[in-house]
Amino acid sequence: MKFALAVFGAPHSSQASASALRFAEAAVAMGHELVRVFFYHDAVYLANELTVAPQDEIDVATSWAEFASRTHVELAVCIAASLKRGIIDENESRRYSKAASSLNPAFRVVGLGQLIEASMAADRVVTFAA
Amino acid sequence: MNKKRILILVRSPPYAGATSYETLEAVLVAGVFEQAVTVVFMDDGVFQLVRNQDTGELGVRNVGKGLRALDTYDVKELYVDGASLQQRGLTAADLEVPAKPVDAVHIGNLIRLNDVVLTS
Repeated sequence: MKFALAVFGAPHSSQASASALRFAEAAVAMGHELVRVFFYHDAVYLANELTVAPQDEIDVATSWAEFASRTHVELAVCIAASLKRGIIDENESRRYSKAASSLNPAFRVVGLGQLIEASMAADRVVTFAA
Repeated sequence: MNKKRILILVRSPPYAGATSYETLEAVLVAGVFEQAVTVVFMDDGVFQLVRNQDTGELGVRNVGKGLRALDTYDVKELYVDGASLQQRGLTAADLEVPAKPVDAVHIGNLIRLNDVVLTS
């Protein structure tokens, strides 16, 4: 089956991104296909390259990055939701004359349309709300 | 790719963070992609529908104005949980756009009938 995942809850103040990762791992292990993982609302904070996880906790963002490089599943963050929260890639950083960029390179900045496009392509959409 | 029936459940109030307007934007984009979009407002989400919202002093986008744009994007299936309205002292006459009051059974059917359900 083809799944698309929509992750809405913020890391640290919700379980959404960690639960979504468990689901993604299980789905792939069972032979399902993931069309895309789309991070929206406060979930885009997961793509902040500048976070440092406590040493005795699972680093969810790094685990997602490893999952993506292993499975080639696309991790997408909404550009409008990201920009207003300080998650910015080098191109956008230059465009808005910012001093730095902050996007974790494992994630791709895309338009909100990619959430709808993924919903159209998938058999099932699973939402991980706040 | 098939046209999908997309249901968006709006359960959070407006002006309590960026989420509410972002949800509205997801509804509009689904409309742009010409999907069959249905929106259900329930719980504190019914406050999104209250008419004559004025955000001049808040300096944020006006949700009421966004709701009026839905029709242009061909999003016409708007429902509101009647019990949520009643619990908050609201009636259909208080709403900015004509969302149809329905009961929990009807909302359950809508969730069942749609291909995709997004909840914020």
